[in-house]
Amino acid sequence: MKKSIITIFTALVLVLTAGAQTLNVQVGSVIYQFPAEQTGDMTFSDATTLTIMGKEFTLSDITSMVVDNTAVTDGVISVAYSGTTATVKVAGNIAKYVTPVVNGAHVNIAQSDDLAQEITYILSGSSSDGEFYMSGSYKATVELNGLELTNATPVSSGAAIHIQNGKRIKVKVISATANTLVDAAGGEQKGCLYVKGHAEFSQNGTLNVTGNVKHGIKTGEYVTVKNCTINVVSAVGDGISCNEYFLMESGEINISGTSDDGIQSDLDGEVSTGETEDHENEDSGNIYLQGGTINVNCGAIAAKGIKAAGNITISGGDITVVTTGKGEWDEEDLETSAACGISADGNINISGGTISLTSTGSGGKGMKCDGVLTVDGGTINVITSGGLYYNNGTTENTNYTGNTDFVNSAYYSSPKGIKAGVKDESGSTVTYSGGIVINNGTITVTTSGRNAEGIESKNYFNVTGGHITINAYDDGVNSAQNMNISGGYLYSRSTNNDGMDANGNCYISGGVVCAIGSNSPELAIDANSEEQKKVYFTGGTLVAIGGIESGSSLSQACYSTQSWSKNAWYALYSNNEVVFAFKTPSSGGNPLVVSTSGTTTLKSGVTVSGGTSYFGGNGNIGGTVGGGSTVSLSSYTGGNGGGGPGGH
Amino acid sequence: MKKLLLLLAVISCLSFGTVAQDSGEDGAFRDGYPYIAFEKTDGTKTFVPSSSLIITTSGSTLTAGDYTFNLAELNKMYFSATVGIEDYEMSDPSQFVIDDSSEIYDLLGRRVKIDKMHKGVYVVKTGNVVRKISMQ
Repeated sequence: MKKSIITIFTALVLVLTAGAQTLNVQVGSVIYQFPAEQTGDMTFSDATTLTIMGKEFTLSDITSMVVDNTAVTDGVISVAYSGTTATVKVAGNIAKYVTPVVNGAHVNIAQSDDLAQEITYILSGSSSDGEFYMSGSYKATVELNGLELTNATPVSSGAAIHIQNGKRIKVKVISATANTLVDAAGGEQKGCLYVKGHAEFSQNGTLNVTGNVKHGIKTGEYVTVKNCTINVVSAVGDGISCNEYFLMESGEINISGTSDDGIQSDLDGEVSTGETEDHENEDSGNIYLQGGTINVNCGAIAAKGIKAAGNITISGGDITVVTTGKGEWDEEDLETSAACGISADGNINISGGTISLTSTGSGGKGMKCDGVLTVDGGTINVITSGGLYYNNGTTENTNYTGNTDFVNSAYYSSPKGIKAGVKDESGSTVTYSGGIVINNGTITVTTSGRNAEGIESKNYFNVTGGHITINAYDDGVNSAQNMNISGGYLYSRSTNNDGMDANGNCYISGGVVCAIGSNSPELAIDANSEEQKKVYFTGGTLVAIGGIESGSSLSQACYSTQSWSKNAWYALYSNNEVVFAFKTPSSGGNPLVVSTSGTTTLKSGVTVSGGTSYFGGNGNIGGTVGGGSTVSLSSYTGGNGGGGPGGH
Repeated sequence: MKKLLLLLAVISCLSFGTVAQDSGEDGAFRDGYPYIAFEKTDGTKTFVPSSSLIITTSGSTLTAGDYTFNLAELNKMYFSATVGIEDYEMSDPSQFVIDDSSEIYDLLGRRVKIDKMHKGVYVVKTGNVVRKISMQ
């Protein structure tokens, strides 16, 4: 009897402590996992079907039913690839809402429209000929958990992952995992990773993508990136192409080997909503770069590193774009088109981050927008080295050296560091839009190709602050309309044209301006005197090597010398206090004009130590100045005296 | 000793009842289903141990462990925490068919007659089926 009591107690304890149980119903490569506590009645019908939690199985289709202690997470479907096969496991609570079809390692899962809860798809394993295709109408999460997937022979799609679902799709690149996707070269897919809806990339893993037909990653709606690393190894189209908007919060994106743009954001509809609060229902074509690292290397013809149909807003992050492609003749627009590091059809707003743009192709630009470029912070470095691109639809010249004054502007693309705004000429009517406003930040532009201006505004150019250093082949700064400098630090040198060229008036009322033009007839500071425009100089600290436009209004007294030494340090004094020291260039026009708010004097051949360096090491404020000899200055009212640099 | 055993059985039933109170809307237990019950269309049930149970179908038969069923006779199957003990709540004992062979016990292990059943919990054994009944 004692034994019986012990047995009863043991049985009781066993019953009370038994673990979770799961009924695994396998149909081919799909295993439906029903937790015991959820199943309730599992009903048979007509000796042919078994229904479990609303999922009806044809008994003859069932490979096996096994009870084990597998833990099941509600709402999860896992897909494990292995060579030419894939095993799909479906949590019982969502079984009735999905229809998985597995053909080798090609997995197609259709979500029912009745589904009202989010499913998480966990993809893992490796296949050299597989795919993941999911369709549905309810938001979902796709976890990439160590997945190597190459689609060789498309079944549902040529994409490695194809999400035919217009809702929000979270793409979690699981931390500490590497995931590689390669799509089918023979497919018709829009991207190696295609999402019909909006994709939110997150987690700390790495995703490598190769797009053999079109884009690396393509979404029908917006893309956000947080934490994860995305490497587009190569793509026949863009590296990442999306609609509505693109937002990068953090993480890393590396794009190379593309035959088109690096990152492109387009409008989904016809009319932009503009930026909306919290991006709710936004369809703007905007790009928001808030943090993280972006490296884009585009070698394609006329490719853009980062391109937006709307605005581009950069508030943080490290962005490096290199374009090497030449320009091309655009058959649709009947004009030339050239490569560009960052390009927006709308505005570009920069308030933070570090941006490095290099363009080496013919006609290539660093940054361009049709709207207003506003810089309120950040560090921007631009280098272009490509020559002038010419193409009239039949003849191409990647280093055109002819005079463009009499060439249809549609036939050539000039390389430029930064260009903003649009000048539209329709008959005798000329309209200007966009422009450039620099309030803060550090901008360095270097151009060396023919016709390459440093910064060009097709409308106004306003500077209230910031540090701007330009070394350009053509005009350092050119504006189609007025130029207005009221603060900041501006160094603008051209080796073959004007340092600063305003086709409207040029107003200088503050800041430190160091403008260097090439030899006569070019000027340090030019205004459109042919149309009765002037340079209005009312204040600030000024160095103008090459002179100022004749007929200018110089209400703050200016002084000049026709003789100046190349590559020498000068110290500019105001009321006997050094306000600015500068190093003269290796070439430049005459005269050297200076002005300060006080009594202005100048010393040449000085030594400078300490202080704060400006203009790429060619300027100094606050340093200790020694030695040198006083320069004899004459009162100056405008015009240049012709000739090259005097002295040494 | 017989009383002690009966008491233990009652405690066992109470324990199951406690788990059942934690159950979800479907009334299923959350922890431990050592059996799968196969119920035929005539109401008879067979309780098959669920641990590592393999269920297969072939033609007109279904095999679960050592048991084989005619599919045409099967109505349903379900996970069960006990060998035939089920929970019923009713206000009228006539809702529950008890034949002459039924044995009814209260929680003290005392056998009672059906017309003496009052509000409370009882264990009813009819044939091989044992049910725990809560009279409301």
